[in-house]
Amino acid sequence: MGHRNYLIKRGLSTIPMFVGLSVLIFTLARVIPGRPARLALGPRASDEAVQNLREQMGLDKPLWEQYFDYVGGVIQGDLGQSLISNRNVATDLMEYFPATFELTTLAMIIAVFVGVPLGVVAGQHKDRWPDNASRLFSFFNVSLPPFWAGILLQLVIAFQLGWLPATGRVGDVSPMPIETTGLLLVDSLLAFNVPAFVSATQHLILPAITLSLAPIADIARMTRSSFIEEYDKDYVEGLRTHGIPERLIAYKYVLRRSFASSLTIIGLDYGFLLGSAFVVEIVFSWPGMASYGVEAILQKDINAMVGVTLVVGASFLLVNFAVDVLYGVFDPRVWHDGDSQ
Amino acid sequence: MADPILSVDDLSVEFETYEGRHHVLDGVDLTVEEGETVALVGETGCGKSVTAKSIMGTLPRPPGEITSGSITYDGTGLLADADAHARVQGEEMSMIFQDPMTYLSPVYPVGSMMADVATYSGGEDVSWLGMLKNLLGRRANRGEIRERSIELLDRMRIPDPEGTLDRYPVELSGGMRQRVIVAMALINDPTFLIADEPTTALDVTVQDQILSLLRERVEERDLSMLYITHNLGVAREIADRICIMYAGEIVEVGTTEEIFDAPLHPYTRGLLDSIPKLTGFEGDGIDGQIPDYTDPPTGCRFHPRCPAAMAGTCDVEPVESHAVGDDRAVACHLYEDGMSFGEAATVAEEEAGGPTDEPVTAEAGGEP
Repeated sequence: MGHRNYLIKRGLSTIPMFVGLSVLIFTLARVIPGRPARLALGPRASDEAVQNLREQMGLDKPLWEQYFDYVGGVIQGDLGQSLISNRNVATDLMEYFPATFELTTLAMIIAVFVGVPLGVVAGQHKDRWPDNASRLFSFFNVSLPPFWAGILLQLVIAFQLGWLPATGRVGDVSPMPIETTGLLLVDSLLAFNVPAFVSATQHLILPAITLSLAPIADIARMTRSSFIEEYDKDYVEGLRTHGIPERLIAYKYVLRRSFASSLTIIGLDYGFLLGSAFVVEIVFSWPGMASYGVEAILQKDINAMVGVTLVVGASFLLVNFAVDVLYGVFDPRVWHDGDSQ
Repeated sequence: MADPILSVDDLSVEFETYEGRHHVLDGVDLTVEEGETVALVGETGCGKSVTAKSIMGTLPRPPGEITSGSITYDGTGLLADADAHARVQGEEMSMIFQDPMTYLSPVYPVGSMMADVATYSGGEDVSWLGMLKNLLGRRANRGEIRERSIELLDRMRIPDPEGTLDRYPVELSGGMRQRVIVAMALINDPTFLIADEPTTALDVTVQDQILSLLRERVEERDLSMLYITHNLGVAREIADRICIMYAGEIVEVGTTEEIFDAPLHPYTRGLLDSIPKLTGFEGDGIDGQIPDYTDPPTGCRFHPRCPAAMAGTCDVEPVESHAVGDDRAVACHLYEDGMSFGEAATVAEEEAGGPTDEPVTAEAGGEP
């Protein structure tokens, strides 16, 4: 079968993309104005000290040489020294990235499980009230800036109603689960630590909902339009004539086909999600990559900047690889097209 | 003869669209006796499929609307009672579709779709749990359904029926897919079958195979069938009786031999004349095209294209169906009720245009 060829082909094609991405990010970080060595040492440092640091950081070498030095480091898990934390950027990212990953993943799960059924219901009842309601809801979601929606949720649900905590990643729980994956939900489950799991979940809900609003709308709209198109196909009429229940037609047959276009938008939305996660993390004091990344940009901490962008970019590539694989799962013809006979 | 198993009386269907109201079916009368195959023949757009959908209860409403008439199946009125219609349709009727390329879901193996048809055709609803089980392939009595599917595919002369069940439609040829579609229609042992141009999309040799498989099955199970086609040749091969339809009206009914031996209605004669023959390459055919349904011609709907149209009669007086001979019916002003078959045939030869036995030299028909 074509499964393996298809996977290998798609997998290999992410490598040049990743290389291109790294060149781009690396170059951009070096050519933006600002002198990192001077900033790191402060205005009163001597020119000699600055020059020494530049040499130490390799900033005096030609750009291509710097790039290969950097890549050599990346391969060994060394992303360079951060000027702010004085630690290796890789160590910093290991600490902050899991929190961001947990948040964006849950937000995406919410977005898919709310957005897709919303789109299906709207598509089934095209131009009637469920469709209009869903469209209005989507419209609101898209137009709300995430930081504003986040503050609103904090005000109402956290402060007025007091149902959920407003900020942070976990409450006062002892003992905390041992860090194995860095994902609190997973770690606490692995340790059977129920209080930590509950607290982590409570803290996760509001920021995840905030983050999922815009993708929900995107996914619902995309699912709706592709569902409507697919709902008109001959085989749907055939199934209906054979007396197959409408629910089975909609969710087993039509959705499976129209989900391909939802997948496309899910892949794209994941990039968007990583972007707006920066804002949402700051609103909810979420200890993810956001504050680290923002600080890095403000301080011209180039290694940290490149590290953060590289991780975000790599996650985006990985998600889109997963999307490519899922295309094949949902529409087996994709595997066959991969076969070159 | 006993009551017909299916009778459609005076069925009128209209469609509401942007351009206005389309009067598509205008008083269609149709009967199918038990064990009989009736072919419904007419040009594309004449209302054949609308008739089929009305019988199957799948006419999209809106925009479609049944404005008058009744459909009776085995003594049960279908149009008055939607539940009875759904039940009769689920238990007794089944349908074979036109295009094997588009009537199978591309993302499931054909066996999965057949199993769904076998399981749910009775019309019962499915719970979310039931659907989950279905998606995970854990439906009830799946072994039995699989066996039934394999047996049917085998009857349809599909090589390797078991392997075929697990294949996707893209992996099958058009002929194989059409066999699967036929098998799917037969899986619940229907007593009444509607075939909507099932061989149109196939090439001629495959068409013949499908037709003979279908005929075999119909005879073996004593099925009643309404076979819809635009191809008189196919109708001749499969049907006991032929109904000719034009612009939403049945214009002529007769047994297959009679229709071919002595076509009465000018439209039927024109249709027969349009069949390409091995001798004499140019038929005369029929000029013009199916009328606009928003504003159909007054009087007889065929009169603007009719070589025998009589000014002052055909364009004014609505035409009624006249019984001719024993079991012919023709809706044309040339004929009168109670005419004997011989008289009618003479009228047809003299007046109705269309095929003649002598080679045509001058412009046929001419001015009436």
